[in-house]
Amino acid sequence: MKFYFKLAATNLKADRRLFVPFVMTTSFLMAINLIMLNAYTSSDVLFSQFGAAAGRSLFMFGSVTTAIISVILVIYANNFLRKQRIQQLGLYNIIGFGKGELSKMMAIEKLLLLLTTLLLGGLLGTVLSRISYLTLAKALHVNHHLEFGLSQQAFSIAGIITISLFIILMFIDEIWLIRKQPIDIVREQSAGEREPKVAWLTLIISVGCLIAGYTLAVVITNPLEAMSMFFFAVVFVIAGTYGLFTSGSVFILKWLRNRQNYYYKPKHFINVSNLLYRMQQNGAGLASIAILVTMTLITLATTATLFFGINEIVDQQTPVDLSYSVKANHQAAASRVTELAKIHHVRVRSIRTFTGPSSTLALLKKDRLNSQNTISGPFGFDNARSVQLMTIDSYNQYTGEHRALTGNNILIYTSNHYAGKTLKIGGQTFHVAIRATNFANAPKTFIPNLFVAFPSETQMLDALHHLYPNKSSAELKSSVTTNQDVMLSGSHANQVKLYQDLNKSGIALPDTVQSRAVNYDDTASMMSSFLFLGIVFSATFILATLLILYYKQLAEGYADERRYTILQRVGLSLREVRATINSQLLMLFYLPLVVAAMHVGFALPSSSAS
Amino acid sequence: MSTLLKLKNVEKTYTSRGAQPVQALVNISFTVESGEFVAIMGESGSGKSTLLNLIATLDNPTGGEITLNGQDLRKVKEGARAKFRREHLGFIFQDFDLLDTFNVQDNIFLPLVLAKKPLAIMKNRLAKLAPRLGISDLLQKYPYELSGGQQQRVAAARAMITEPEILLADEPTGALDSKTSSELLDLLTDVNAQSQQTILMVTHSAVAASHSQRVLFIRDGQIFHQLYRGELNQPDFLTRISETMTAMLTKEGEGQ
Repeated sequence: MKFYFKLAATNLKADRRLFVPFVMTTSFLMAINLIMLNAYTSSDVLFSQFGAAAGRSLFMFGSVTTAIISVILVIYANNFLRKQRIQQLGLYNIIGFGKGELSKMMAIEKLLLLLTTLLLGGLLGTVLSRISYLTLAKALHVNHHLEFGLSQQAFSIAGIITISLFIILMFIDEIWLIRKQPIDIVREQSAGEREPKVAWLTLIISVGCLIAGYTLAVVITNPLEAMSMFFFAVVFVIAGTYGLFTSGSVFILKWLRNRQNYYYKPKHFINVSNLLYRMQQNGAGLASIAILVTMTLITLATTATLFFGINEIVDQQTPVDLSYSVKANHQAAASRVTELAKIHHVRVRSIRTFTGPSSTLALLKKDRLNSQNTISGPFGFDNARSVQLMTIDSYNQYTGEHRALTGNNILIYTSNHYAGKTLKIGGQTFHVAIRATNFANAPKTFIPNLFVAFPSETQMLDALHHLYPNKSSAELKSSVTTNQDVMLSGSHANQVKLYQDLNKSGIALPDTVQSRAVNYDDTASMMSSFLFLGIVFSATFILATLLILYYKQLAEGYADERRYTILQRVGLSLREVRATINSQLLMLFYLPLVVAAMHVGFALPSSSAS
Repeated sequence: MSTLLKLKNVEKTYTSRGAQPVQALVNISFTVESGEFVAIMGESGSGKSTLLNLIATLDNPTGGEITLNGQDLRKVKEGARAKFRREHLGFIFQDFDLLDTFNVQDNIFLPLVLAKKPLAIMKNRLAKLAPRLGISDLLQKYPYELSGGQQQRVAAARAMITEPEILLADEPTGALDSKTSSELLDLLTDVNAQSQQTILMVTHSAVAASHSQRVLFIRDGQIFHQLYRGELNQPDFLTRISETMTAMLTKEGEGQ
């Protein structure tokens, strides 16, 4: 046994240019898993004030995702490692190592790597977890003296993940050993590689996928659809990228090779033929890099946009400082709220009162407004409306205007254009008499607003009945409430206290109190968590990219060594060799970046819309 | 006939850190006339490959001088050596050294492409060369599709397409069976006879050497003996070479 440990240690040392990056990768992955798991186990503390459940599930999602990425990456790295060592393993086989001995040797190598990973990953993970915890706690306004941000549970889970990873790798290697004789593979490897053929079907399909993905991303402007279709766009683009790098590159390079005046120039001659030869093996690697870079950029961009757009989001969701509903025409509420505010050193600047039923989702078909119950079909930007009914008196009270309506005339306010001269609700046809161009504090949602003011309450309730056919008139009548929009001046903390007190006071109807200050805190904590996830994911993606790049370079370097020796003998100077390698490197480095930039260019308008 | 290659008191000593200096070549002097087919024979470790590397400008001698067509090789600067090689020298190697990324035609074109020759010239030369080497049907194939003998003929075509002043062959039959070996050697003899192509071949095989006009025996880094073929036919020359080798081995025995 001691012999195997010695042998394994010698192997690791001898092939350190392979094993050091491998251990660095596994350690980083363990650290990243630890960070996510620590955030997850501390989410109850981090989100103690707001949205504990949401925060928990968000970090749960993050933990699972990083674990999955770890599995994929580590398997990739291990496959590469084994490929590079085939010759060595074959040699051991020739000098008398049976499969049993080989698998024992490889298992002990894995054990040593695992121990190193646990140590390094644990240390790195501890430091980074602590840092990220402090950052998160600060962003979430949590008193971070409470806990250290490291949990035993997280360490155990991260340890189990890492150990399982290595067990998986051991199994994969074992299966490989059973299936193949290393000596066979040594022979296999030295056999020449065939000239790549253009896979026309793959090429056509992948171009189709890419066009489809881009079209989806560009054409769909409706955020509701964008959210669901974006996923399909992503799948199309990923499939297209893989196909394009593997078959498209062969197609382009063959085309270049057939242009004799271009091809038979020293630089192009070597580059084109080398790349052509290379693309078949490395198309997938390059595509992975392109996709990982794209994901990094999009993740960072969207989470950062969200983070830096907190104010905008809060303004949209809560246009006023404080709002609440009371029973219809409950007169005393305003003064009681004003008193409550005084206690908390908050001054009420203005109160707007609006009386009406709560807003509802309805379907607009030409000029007919239908209840959402009547149609079972897709909701879209085109037909769905957020409808708010009111009487003209309520309208006047809220806006301070003095409008008058009679008969079947109505006033409408829409957030997108409504051209019709009439509006049909149930059996009634109303004439659009007044079009309000502005409605203060109208909620800005994905679904366009349609506000309708009727001359009388009876007409309004009648219309409401058509939108809620299942509810009785009495129910509908009682659903009419008075809503008050209050503008305040006072410190953030005091406004939060006012909100909490108002909720307890029973002045407002239950669950109707909304505070901009509280919403700000909620949103900020959500967005900081998103950004945190974004940064952790991006770090993982970048790590994956670096790993693939490094291993690819290493593999190609060895493969090219012989080729460049021959070229030098035939008459290529060392300087020319260097220039050729450099230009090829740059090409292989920039190609995925260019494709990634293209993807991001198409994706960003769409992802920022949703 | 004029002197093409001239070596005068050439020495090569390898010095590596912490080890005794190794004298690979000691005081080597000989000349190769234009149009000659010369073989340098020796066991492995005799210094013959070192000698070829020096002539190929892949390495520098530690003493003496080498001139090709009157040009002192020491004065060819490092940066200009690649150009010098592709303009004046042609190489055939033991393991063919074809590039698997190119098809046969492009492998042969390689030195000309590096020399930035126009495509028309390349095609013209290949059209003349391919039938002579019997590779006309192979031009669009890839090295992995060829047999060893075919690969070596392609390598010969690559070496000859630059119309080099001297063709350097390093154990060209080392990886071939006896039948393809003799085919290749006949080919080299033909090329030498018909186009007055100067050939310098390094080999340890007496059969290979017997195709040349002159054999230089090298041992322990020194020219040990020289044998002219004169009017002998190839089998007789082979016998002479074998006898010489036996004599050499006997002497070696006596020396010990």
